Amino acid sequence: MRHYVRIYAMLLKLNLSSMMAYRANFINSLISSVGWGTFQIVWVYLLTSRITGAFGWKSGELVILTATYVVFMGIFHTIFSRNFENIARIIDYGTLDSFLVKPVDSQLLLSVWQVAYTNVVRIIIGGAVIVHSLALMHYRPTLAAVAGYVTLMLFGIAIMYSIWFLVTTCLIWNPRLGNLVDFLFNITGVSRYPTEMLTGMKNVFLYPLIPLAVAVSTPARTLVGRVLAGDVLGLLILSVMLFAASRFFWKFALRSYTSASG
Amino acid sequence: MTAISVSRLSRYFRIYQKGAGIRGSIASLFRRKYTTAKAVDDISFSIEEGELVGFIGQNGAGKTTTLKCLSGLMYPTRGEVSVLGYTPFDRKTDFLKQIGLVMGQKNQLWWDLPPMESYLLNKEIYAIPGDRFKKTLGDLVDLMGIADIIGVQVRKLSLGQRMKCELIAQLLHGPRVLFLDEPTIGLDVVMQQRLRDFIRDYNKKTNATIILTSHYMQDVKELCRRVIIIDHGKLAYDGALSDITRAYSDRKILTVVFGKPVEKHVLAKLGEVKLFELPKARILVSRARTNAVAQELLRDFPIEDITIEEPGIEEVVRRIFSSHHA
Amino acid sequence: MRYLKIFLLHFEHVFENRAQSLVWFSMSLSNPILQILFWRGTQGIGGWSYTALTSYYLLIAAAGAFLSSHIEGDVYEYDIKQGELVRYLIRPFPYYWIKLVEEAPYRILQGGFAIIVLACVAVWFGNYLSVPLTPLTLLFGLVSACFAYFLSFTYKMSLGLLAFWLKDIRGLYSFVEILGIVLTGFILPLSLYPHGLREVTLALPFAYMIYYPVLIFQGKLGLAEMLQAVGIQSLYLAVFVVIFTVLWKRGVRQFTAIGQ
Repeated sequence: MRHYVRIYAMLLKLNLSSMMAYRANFINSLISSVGWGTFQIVWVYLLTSRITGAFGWKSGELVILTATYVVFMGIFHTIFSRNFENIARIIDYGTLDSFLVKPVDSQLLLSVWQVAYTNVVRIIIGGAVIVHSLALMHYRPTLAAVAGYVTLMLFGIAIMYSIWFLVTTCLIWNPRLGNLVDFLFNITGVSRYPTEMLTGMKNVFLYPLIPLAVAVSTPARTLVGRVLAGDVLGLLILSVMLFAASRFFWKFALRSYTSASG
Repeated sequence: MTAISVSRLSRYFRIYQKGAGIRGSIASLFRRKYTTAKAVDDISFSIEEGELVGFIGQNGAGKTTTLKCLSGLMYPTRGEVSVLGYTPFDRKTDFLKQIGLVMGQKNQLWWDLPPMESYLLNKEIYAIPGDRFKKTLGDLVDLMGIADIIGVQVRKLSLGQRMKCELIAQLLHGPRVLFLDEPTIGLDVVMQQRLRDFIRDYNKKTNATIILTSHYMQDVKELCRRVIIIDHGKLAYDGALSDITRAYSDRKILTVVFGKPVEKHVLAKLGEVKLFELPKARILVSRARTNAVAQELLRDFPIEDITIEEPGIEEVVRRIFSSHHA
Repeated sequence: MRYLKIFLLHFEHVFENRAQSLVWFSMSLSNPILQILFWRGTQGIGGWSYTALTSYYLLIAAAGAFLSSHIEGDVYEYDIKQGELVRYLIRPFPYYWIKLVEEAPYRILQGGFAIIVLACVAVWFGNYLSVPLTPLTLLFGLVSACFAYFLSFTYKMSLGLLAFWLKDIRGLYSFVEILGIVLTGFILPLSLYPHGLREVTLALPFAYMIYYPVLIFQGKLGLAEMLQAVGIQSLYLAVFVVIFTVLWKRGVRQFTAIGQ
């Protein structure tokens, strides 16, 4: 365990040095992060500008939901996203070999190798909007609610991670589908919306998206004090199951790995 | 003790074919044709600790695939592999800590940072104790002569410098078995020689088992006492290099382009005719007689062009393979 | 004839990578679908019925697939930064038209997917899609769609050409992309934007790249308004063509003089 902490500490250091060595890239990423983070907030403000609520959520709560999403993705993008983007290239060029040959769990190493620090601004933007919205609605969440919020968000991130990794594992069979990761970025947008939007439809095609929505809706609901024990349980179970599935699928895929060039 | 033991190893791939043009593309929507490529087919051998063995064969013969099965990267279709007592594909941590893999041109160092940073990362990944790390690093840096560049960003280094640094990264944890896949490819002659010297010294100093794949005869000649020739996925030869070199280093190839047609049997008197497609022909001649034969050709025949060269690996492989089958 | 050959070659390539194309297409669908689901929670707003809203989002997804150009990445990355532009400069065809023909297969394939989806929706979810076509709206719709594509294409080409002068342009492109989404009507029909923002967005050229053609097909514009829309489109198109030409002439001169 300590071994992995030391490895990650070193990775954090190397990523920091790398980021500072490449200033143009740093500025571009920062603009991107600020841009997309703000964009999501603008989006929800536009949507809620003419309504008082939807699916049992008040307008202000919908804003908090989206802001939670922004914080959520801020954490996710910082720790994981760049690695998912790289996986297609890593598999296609055979660089995966150098990961597989190291005495560290390959799934872990691939997932956290690079850190995208600039996305921390999304956390700041989202956080600011949440605080502002809570103030506007005169909500004062209890300490338990905040603790629950943070904990459930972490489990929610595990759900998001597992789904992304399950999909990305398919690249082992077809490394050319690099835009599968863009697709994931895109589909992840469903998490800005309340779970009720999907469950209300009773459409079997939407069911796979429900875990993504649950991952963000449940923590947000905890913060505004409307969460049910069932929601929490659902989140925890999904989280554990999907994570186990991602590990199993990855190990299975490695057996089919043909390792570019011969 | 036996470091590596391979029994009836096979690795097959499915390759999908598509017809040409738009018609082919649309046809492939309905029916896909597959062929099974046998990259490695029923290979068996065993290697003792401390040996320096060369895997040779043409491109695509199956050498790299075998290497990847030995290092745990690929799952064998059939057969059994055991390296240092472990099954490579299980990829146990203890196994991985004892092997090293260096693949020709691939970059494992962080591009924007000095190699030293990547080394420190590897130190953590392989859990190398501080003082052992310092000593090993010191030795390797001296051996490679890179003390002045380990603080320079990798992207500012030349190819040769980069390769040296990459190699060191793979050796910091002191692997007992080292797999080198085409280590000298793309390097200039001087670098190739330096790298060969380094590998030889490393083997002597640490008694590491080293497996080297190459399609340069020179790499193998200088480093390996034992070679394994893999041809079209099959084991064509496994034995002392001296046996092959005896068959080959005493011969040379003369390639001639004739100005006027010449009879084959006349040429056959001078040496073994390998190729006869006028105006071009190729004959194998013993080293001692090469000059004499060349002079005779130039004197008695209408010659447009003549080249004298060492037999390539294709020659060796073909010879060995066909004699193995005879 | 030669343009046809270039087109067919690219079409074959795109077809081979149809899995990728399908993924791109699904991405363009995801937001409209989510929006449609969202508005269920409110059953229509601001004078737009739920059906009108869902038709809007479906049409804008289709329009996006057909009409939004993504050529700027190609121009910036391969042609200018990596110097591939040289290949185009020595050919006897204008760069503008070759790029158009290169992009055409992608738009057609994406548009093809969109039509299939719209057809399926019309068959199985008829009440979500309402496109009251009259000969007039069809005519104006097609004309404005053509203008819209050329507008989008010329705009994107011009953006790409900025690579002649700007060293690292990706931050700008991100920003432009975000702005584009907000201003072209992908989030919400522009007329439903808050007062103030609404007037601005309706006047900008972005509204004419996808929004107005969609409104025309939805039958939301009268004859005078349709004429005005097409008129303003052609005006903006002329402006962008001028911008493009100026950027091109200046850029090529610098590119060939200084080299890469």
